[in-house]
Amino acid sequence: MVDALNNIGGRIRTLTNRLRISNSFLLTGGPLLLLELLFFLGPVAIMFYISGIQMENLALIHDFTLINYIEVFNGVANRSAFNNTLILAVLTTVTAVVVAYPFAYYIARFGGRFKNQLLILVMIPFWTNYIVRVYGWQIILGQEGIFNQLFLWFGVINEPISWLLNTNFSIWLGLTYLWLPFMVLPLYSSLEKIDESLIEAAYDLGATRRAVFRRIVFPLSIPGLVGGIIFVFIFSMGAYIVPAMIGGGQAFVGTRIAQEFGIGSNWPLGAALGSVLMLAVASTLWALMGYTNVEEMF
Amino acid sequence: MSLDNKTSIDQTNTNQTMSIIKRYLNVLGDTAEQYWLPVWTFLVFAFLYAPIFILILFSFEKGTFSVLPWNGFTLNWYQEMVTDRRLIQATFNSLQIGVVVTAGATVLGTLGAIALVRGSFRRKGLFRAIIIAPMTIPGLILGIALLIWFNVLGFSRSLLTVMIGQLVFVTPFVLITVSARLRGFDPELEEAARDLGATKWQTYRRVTLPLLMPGIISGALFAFTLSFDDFLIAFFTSGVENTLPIFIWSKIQHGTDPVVNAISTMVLLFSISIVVIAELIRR
Repeated sequence: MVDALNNIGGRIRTLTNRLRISNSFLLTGGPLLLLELLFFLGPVAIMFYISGIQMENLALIHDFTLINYIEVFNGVANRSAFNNTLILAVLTTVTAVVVAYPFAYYIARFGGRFKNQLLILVMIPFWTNYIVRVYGWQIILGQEGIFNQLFLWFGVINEPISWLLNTNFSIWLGLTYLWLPFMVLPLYSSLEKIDESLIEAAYDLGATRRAVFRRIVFPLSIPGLVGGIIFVFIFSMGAYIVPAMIGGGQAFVGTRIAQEFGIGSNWPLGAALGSVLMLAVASTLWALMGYTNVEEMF
Repeated sequence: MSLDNKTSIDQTNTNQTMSIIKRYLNVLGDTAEQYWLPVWTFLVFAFLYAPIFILILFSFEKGTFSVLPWNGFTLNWYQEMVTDRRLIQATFNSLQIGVVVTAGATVLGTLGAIALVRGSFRRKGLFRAIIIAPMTIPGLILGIALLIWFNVLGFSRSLLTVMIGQLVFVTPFVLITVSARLRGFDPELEEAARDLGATKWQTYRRVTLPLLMPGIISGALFAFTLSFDDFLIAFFTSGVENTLPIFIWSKIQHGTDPVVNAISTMVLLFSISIVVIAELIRR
């Protein structure tokens, strides 16, 4: 009898405990959860919904159809936009790794007492308005831009290079430029964590520089590397500013989507393009997330 | 015998030249190995700052086309900038949005960080995923999704819808910054306060919050910059209202305008001072 009572008492206690915990969760995490449910998951869900119906004069016709998705995969403009975007995103990611790795490595290993100052120098462009920075490239790369004029003046070239602006080249350059800090910062934070004594021990045991890099530094930098790859690839896939400002109308998913929500005014098609892009992004995340920890990246 | 001798001298000669070449190559390789990293680092910094310096430089240039050769020094563009009423209105809108979003994101993000780090509940992984996702989704997708959503709900687009939209992706950044700080200190400090008779609220106010302050402040500064720089969310959810990035965008669409260089320089200086302040607080 006493046992049974104790048992019930214990159960009630765990129940109130659980309630208290969930209560305090509702107070602390609840508001944010509500915000994300209402204005993140809700909007994304409605985007997927709209991509499966038709629309006339901004009024929804609630009949399920796959016509938008057929247009996404069969339409010439959309297909070439996806192809071009994918190629440029992969190219940008590879370039960002090649450019950022030695850079982050140098700051993390040899920055010495200037480490923090150098890091702030990386952070400044990262925190500055990206439209402004892309506009700077517009001035540099144009037909009569700084680059062409300087090189003409030095006699390196005889006539202005015309493919610097409004081509796939400028999109590639702009994307690499814009997302480079997103590669540098996670790489830096994992390179900086490497214990110096591990490297010294390897040298003491007769390892060559290459072996130290291949067997110690590189494996330990993988979380940062993967984090950087995730960010640069996803942001390149979803880019809009760069192709719109310095892409000169080259096929790109971002500009295609914006077009359908602007002058094209075919919201369901735009939503379908957005949904396919979203799925591509989500599957990249899902595939790579296990190799890194987003929360410790910055 | 002598012939043998000659060959061996030849042999030594070639050996000597070989070893000299080898030594040179080694020195060359060592120097390259020693200097390519710093040189590379310098070049990457140059790449990162090239467009920024060009903009600042050309904001003082007389000519209207932002091209070389240099026509002379002027402050005209700055003068034109401070008298542009639409620009002032757009800047004011951006500041207003920035302040509201920063306040909201800081409160929600700090509370969320406490839930994420200190809370123990089931489905924590799901909570984390819902928090991280808005950071990683491209702004363009969030922008159009919000545009559809507000349209379906019948919200008219205004500065308020921009604030809500920015809050969605800015808050997670604050949460991450604060939770890093929260993980860094010992939960026993809170327990000690409780043991000494402090209520839950007193513990938060006297122990948790002061310890979190540096994280909260740098998170808030981060939030403000993200909001102030945001173009995509504002572009799709602002309706007829302008924010500063939208204003700059529409100006650039109409061709190069040196006033944009002056505005950009001011925006740059503003961001730089915020970063420096944030970093000084964080360290």
